[in-house]
Amino acid sequence: MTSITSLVFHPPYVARVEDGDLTFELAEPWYRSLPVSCITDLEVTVNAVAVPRENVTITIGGTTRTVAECADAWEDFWFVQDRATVRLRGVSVGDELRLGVHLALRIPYIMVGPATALPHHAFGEENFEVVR
Amino acid sequence: MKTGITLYSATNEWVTRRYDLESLLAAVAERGIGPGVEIVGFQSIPTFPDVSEDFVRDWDRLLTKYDLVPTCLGSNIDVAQRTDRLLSDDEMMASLERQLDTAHRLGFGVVRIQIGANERVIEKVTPTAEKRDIKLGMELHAPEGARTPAILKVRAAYDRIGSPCLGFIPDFSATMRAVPPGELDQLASLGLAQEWIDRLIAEWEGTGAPFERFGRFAAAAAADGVPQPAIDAATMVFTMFGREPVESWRDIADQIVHVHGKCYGFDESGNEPSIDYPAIINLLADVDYRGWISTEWEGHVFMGPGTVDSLDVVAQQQALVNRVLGERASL
Repeated sequence: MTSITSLVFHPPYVARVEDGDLTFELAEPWYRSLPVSCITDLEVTVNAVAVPRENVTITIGGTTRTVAECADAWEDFWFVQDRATVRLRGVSVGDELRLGVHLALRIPYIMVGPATALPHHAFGEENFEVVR
Repeated sequence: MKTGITLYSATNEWVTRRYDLESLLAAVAERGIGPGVEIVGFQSIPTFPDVSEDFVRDWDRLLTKYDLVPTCLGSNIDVAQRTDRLLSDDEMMASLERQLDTAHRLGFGVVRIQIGANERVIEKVTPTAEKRDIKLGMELHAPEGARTPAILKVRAAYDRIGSPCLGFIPDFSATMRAVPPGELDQLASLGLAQEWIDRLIAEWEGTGAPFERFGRFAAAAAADGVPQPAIDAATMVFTMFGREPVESWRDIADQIVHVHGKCYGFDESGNEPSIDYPAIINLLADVDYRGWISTEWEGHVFMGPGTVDSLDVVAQQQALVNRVLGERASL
């Protein structure tokens, strides 16, 4: 019984190789759209090896950013039905891979302290088919 | 009392894209679980807090086509939307005004606000609500209730501001009689043994503020080696399921502008084990509440996509409400 707010991957689990980069889709693990600035971290592993953050971008609503650049995007929203595209540079894979994601969010309307919004962490790990 | 749905009930199907807006409204109409339709703005509208002319036209077309009525729009104030600082009161007011504007264009007469809207923001936005003829309903949701300290402050502010646009939205999560069985199953699956489930229930039913009761449970469980994820997950029992008395709704009876008919699941007799529907519905009838009750199935917090058809549970809730009202009418 896994609730929707813990799911970053929804089937089908398919990753693509595009221009030498690896891309896959990420779901927003919350029940409503959130400002892009509320993405506080995104850790990706490929076959249990961490991908350096400088080699990771996330595309939401047509705009591509590094995870660090998300912090300033507080006027853009990640619509809850839209899937983000994560792109990894410098990763070589075969026809299958095991993808792991830890997505950290800030829930901006639920305060748990005078200046602290609720942190939310979602983890996903699945075997992906690679399409070239 | 009129029945309807909040589309939030179908969160599992929505997030997994089983429905788009039209097919979801069509399903609501087909199953007869409207005609009232409530939405969470930031869930149902891709461009929220703004909407395009095209969206407004399409929304009107869908409501007409499926014979549905817009009841309440759920707003949120994203006070921590910026990374560098919290929003100021003026920025919070501006955000809420944008959402009121959208609510007005979509035909909603009530906008749900939450405890994040402080009394200064409420006061600043009241003239806009009055001009738009929109009622601002502060949701009374667990762990708050009509008599909790934070809400007593809001009630005092309402008295001081003195606008007919200010009201409350009782949510049945505030006045529950038991922890939903589905939540207990979830905690068991995370490794919470039966003796700790019993202890959890005892604390939940005990006295003191919700966080004190959780604190006692968490400290004892951690000392006994209960897995931390199970302890963390148990927080929800104290924040989402409130123990306020049903009678407390009488205190704000003449300020009720909308109702959230929260539910988690139904037994074989069609009753909600965790919420005393007959007591609450009879109270609302006693105080002559004539507005909408939005069915709000929130079992999706512990039941993931594919486990249950959300709209089926919504239909069960409405059958229970109608049964209680029918029994009352036949007395």
